[in-house]
Amino acid sequence: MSGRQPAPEPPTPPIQSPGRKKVRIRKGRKWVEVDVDGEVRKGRFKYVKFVDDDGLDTYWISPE
Amino acid sequence: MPLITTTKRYITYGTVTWEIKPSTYCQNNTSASDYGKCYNIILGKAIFVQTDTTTWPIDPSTGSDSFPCAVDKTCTRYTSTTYIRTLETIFNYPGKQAILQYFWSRSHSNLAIYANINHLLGVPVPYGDPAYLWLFPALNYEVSSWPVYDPVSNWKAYVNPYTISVGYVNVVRWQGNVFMSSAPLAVYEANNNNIWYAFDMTVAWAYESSPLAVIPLDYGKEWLPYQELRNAFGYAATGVDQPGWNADDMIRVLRELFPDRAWAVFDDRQYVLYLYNLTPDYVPDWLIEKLVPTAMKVLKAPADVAVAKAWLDLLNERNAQIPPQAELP
Repeated sequence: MSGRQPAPEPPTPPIQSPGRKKVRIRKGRKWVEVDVDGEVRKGRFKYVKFVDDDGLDTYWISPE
Repeated sequence: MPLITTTKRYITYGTVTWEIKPSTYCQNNTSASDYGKCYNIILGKAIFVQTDTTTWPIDPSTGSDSFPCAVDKTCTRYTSTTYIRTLETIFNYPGKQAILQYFWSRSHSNLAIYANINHLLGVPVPYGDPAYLWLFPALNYEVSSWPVYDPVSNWKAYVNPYTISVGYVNVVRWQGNVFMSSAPLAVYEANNNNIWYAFDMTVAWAYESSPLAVIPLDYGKEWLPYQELRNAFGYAATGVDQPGWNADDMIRVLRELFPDRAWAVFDDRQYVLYLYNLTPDYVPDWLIEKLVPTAMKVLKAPADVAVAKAWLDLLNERNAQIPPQAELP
């Protein structure tokens, strides 16, 4: 019988730095809260900047 | 080939949806006291074709229709006959392919079936493209011996599986794979007057994902990579869609071909715009308005801002009809 590996621990949620703004964004079907590093406006849309789980600088469309 | 599967239940018609009960019917016997009435529709309306606007006029100033089921809002009345009535477009993907996978339709009508699914009276089915030729091999295919099951086309059909007060019940189901870029929802009415039908249905189909490579190809007259990219991504009718690729593959190829150039890839499944040697500062507003990405992800920040600016300038040049809007830092 092959022993099943225990499921890896979920990544620890990022600790909010003092003074960083938290914003709720919709990722797929879930709402998640992220610490944003800034905002950028493109045309009619506003995007919030944060580092996503894949380590990439990410700009996510923000509910106004 | 990356595909996105979609299902529509109770096809919407304008702002309403259809859903009928096993007891749904309309009265089209002109001698009946309840002529022109429709009954037992859960959602939406039946369709009634009645051209006599002398007996049942429509007020030209208010649009108010005096036909009984129009008065009580249980039908949509048409005052002209038609050969095939197209109710709406189920899907339409110019420049890319979709695959019709399944449909199920239940309809009640005063009309009996006399021909195959392309020629059913009062049965709404996806119509158009050559699809029906594949689904239903002959004009009067098995009509005389319904219910039928055709294991080749995987088509099932029943006429009158249950009874209604007036008219016939048709249930058809098909499952398979047929390529078609568009599918209208149409009903074969054969220019009949004084007919009614009500239906509900489900359609399932898949369509190609079409990620975009946003990269001006003749930058610096690099003709060889241009040719490679054209060969790799293939020809697209629209010039921008690259069917058959997914965004990850496209990014991998562009990383190899153009490691020092600026480019972007739009993943139309996730609605993510990936930026390479770019930041959102260099993405013009008109491109954002066109793609409306949910997110932009920076794969590589620009090592040389001139490279990013060259991408923006070339992109704006290619879209000269749209004034450049990006504010450069």
